[in-house]
Amino acid sequence: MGQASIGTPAVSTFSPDHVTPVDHQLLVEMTGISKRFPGVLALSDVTFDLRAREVHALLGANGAGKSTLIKILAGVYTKDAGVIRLRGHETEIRSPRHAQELGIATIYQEYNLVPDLSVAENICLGHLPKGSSPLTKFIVSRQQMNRHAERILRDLQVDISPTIPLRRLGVAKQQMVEIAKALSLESGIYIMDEPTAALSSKEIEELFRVTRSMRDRGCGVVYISHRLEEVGMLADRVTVMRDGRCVDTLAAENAPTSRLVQLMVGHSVERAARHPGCAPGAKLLSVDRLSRKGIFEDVSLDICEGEVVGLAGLMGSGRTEVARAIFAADRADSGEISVRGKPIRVKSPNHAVREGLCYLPEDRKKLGLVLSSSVRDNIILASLARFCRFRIAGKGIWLDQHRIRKEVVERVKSLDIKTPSIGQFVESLSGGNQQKVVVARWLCSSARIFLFDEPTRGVDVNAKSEIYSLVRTLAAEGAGILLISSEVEELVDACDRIYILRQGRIVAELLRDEISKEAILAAALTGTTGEDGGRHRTQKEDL
Amino acid sequence: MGQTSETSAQRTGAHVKRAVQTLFREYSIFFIFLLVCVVITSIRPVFLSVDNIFNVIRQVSMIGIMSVGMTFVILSADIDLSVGSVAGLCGALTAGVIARQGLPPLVAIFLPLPVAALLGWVMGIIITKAKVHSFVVSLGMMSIARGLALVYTKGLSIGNLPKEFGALGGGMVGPIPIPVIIFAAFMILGYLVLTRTPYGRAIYAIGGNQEAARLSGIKVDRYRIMNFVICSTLAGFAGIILASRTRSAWPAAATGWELDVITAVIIGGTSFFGGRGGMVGTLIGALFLGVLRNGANLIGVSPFYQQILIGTLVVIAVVIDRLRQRRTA
Ligand SMILES: Nc1ncnc2c1ncn2[C@@H]1O[C@H](COP(=O)(O)OP(=O)(O)OP(=O)(O)O)[C@@H](O)[C@H]1O
Ligand SMILES: [Mg+2]
Repeated sequence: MGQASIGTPAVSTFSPDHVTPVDHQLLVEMTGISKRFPGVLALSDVTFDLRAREVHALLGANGAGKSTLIKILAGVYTKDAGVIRLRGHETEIRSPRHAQELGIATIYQEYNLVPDLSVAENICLGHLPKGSSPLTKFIVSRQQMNRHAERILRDLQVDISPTIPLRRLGVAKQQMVEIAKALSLESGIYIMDEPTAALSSKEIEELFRVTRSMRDRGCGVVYISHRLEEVGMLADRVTVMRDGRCVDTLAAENAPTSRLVQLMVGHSVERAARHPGCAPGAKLLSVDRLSRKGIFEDVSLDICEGEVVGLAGLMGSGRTEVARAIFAADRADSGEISVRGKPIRVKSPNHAVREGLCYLPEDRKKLGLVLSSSVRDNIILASLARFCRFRIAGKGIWLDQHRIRKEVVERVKSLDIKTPSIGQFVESLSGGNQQKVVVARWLCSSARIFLFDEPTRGVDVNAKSEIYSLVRTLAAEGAGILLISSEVEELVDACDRIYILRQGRIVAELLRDEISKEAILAAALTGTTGEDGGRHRTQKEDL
Repeated sequence: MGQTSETSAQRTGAHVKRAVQTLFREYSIFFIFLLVCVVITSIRPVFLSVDNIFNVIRQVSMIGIMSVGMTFVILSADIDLSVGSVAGLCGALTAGVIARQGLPPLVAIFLPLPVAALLGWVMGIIITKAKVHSFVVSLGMMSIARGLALVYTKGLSIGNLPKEFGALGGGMVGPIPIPVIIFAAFMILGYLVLTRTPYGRAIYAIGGNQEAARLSGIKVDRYRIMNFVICSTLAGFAGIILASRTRSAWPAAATGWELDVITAVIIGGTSFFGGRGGMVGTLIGALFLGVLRNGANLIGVSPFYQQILIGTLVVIAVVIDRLRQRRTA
């Protein structure tokens, strides 16, 4: 980051060097903050503070009000009541721009990137470097911008070209761009809303490294995450929220995960025991030498009835692309797919759905949700035919409102989707609850083969275990599940078998008894599962 | 959130409050509409007479029928600029087969509909398969359909059509003009299709997020093509009613109507970007157009000012739509 004197960052009011090196200096004090949305009291009398030189973790179940709180700090929402003091001065934060000028940089949970701009443009947006002479003052210097972006990306150790359009990046890389964008502002206060939800171990490590170095330079970081183990690794203090209230603030060292869970959801959540294996039934799906030029090659895999099969790999290993090709969301160049032993040429997602497949995309906002529709409409979207009452020539023509209502309400309850009503627009739900809506859509469908791409992204501990128990129920009923996840523990707990992808090829298949965190990581990193492969990993505890 | 402790009376109160809020948010234009009606009535009480009301509805019925189809198209984030031309073409075809081939009107009024449907289908196919924006394709079709009408009529009007033919556009059932009945029927049908059928729900999803709809197994292309077929057919039907009402047809009939139709849909709160809105809004939008024109005539405002009024209204509607999106974003 160094002296990025590029452009004239409007953030001149604060520079980390000016922080008097007194520990515990209060950067932010929020007291008595309340915020009401139509139908929900999102925050009620919340008190929160942030000191210099600390990472303050903010935890809470989905819909607890974390994002709302930090959006108030970032100037996105205006508070209904309460006081914000920045470095001791009472301040009204009027807009996101104003917040930036006050030295608050934010990484949002739902990316705020412009798909049609390049990576560099996205990173520099809002403070595009302009020429210095009067003539070139209004002209954006592309070269400078690209260099600036490249430096930040290099600092984060991510391999993204600054010039490619953002549209072409998967969620993980988009997340890194969003992070780079916040880092490109030299600020004193950083807010990170679930920055790691879409990342795998390597990127998380880099993010942690950068975050720690920011802390050591005197910055304060608000850190939101549902990965509780990260609290111990990164945070100095933890604040737990529940139902729009602040439950407790404690030092990270006296906050074991079990205690945090207790505070978050009001009861303890058992880590789902690794389920006892079951004898897989007949073959449901087999993929034979599926290839897509330059992306993945000769991918062969099977899924049997009653089986949960994992697909692991690092970011960019081609996991998502394989699942998309099976579902015919993208066209594969060669290879065969058979369902129940019958070879089929899946022509379109619609065809795939009719063959009993379903695909839950990793990017809920771009590919999963219809944000302008209600929770109900989003949940029934993939099973419209099933909810029909009258049929003409086998095609349903009339939706059974009563049954829809009943089933949707049931799903909303079982996944604990926090929404004032099932008619609520999905866009006003919290991130985790939006994710649950996408999961509910596919649980509702009559599919037999489920391709789940990061189904628990941004979902709280409680709902996570609920989702996995529903996945197990599906398997027990004879469905086959392909599970893609960056969280290795989840794969270890949930899967009967795991394929490991590395650079577009399947490098290992772990059977039930061979599955372990170490083996998965070793194969994902080096391509072998051998013991020495396992030794390669250093502190990559989390993936 | 803490609702468990509320009494049922409080809860009912909250429900009512939420319903009113929703009404305001979703149909803010409805209240502006009511206000305008009140203003006009207070100046010219005759505005509220049964005769005048039916008069207003009859005047907007053709635009209204077309806007039913247009709502489908705009909801799925497409646009159809060819409706005016297609209406003109179908009016000319009907008049032509009656005047030249001497076909009975009852047959003649249905003959051009397959032609309209075909034009819509062709547009849909090009838009979805060649992935050309609907604005461009329908702009082309607008010119093509008008050209076909000119070719068919050789640029001349066809007049003096038999009296029976006039029944469709000019007849009454009791006190209610027939076009009004047709308009109401299509409105109700459109409303039911949008809210109660898989097709309708799919249209919203396509307009809101086409890729998400596709990945949910929705046949996006087929539904979009269907929208254009329906929109064109309804436009054609409106053109036939117009021909029947005037008992004549001329190649330039219904020129510029596409703008009125789109205006009605947009005033009604359907988002130009798709995914939001619906038939209730379109009904209000169409009536609003009619009321403004009728009211302005009653009061004696010149047609020039009417244009300004309607333009202002469109902008207001779109601004409301933006605000609504910002509030929930
Ligand atoms: N724009 C909005 N309009 C209406 N309600 C909203 C809006 N934004 C948030 N809410 C509601 O406020 C509550 C808190 O949401 P928030 O996004 O702060 O949760 P969160 O703690 O960040 O959850 P998650 O872990 O799922 O991201 C939720 O019940 C949500 O439905
Ligand atoms: Mg959130």
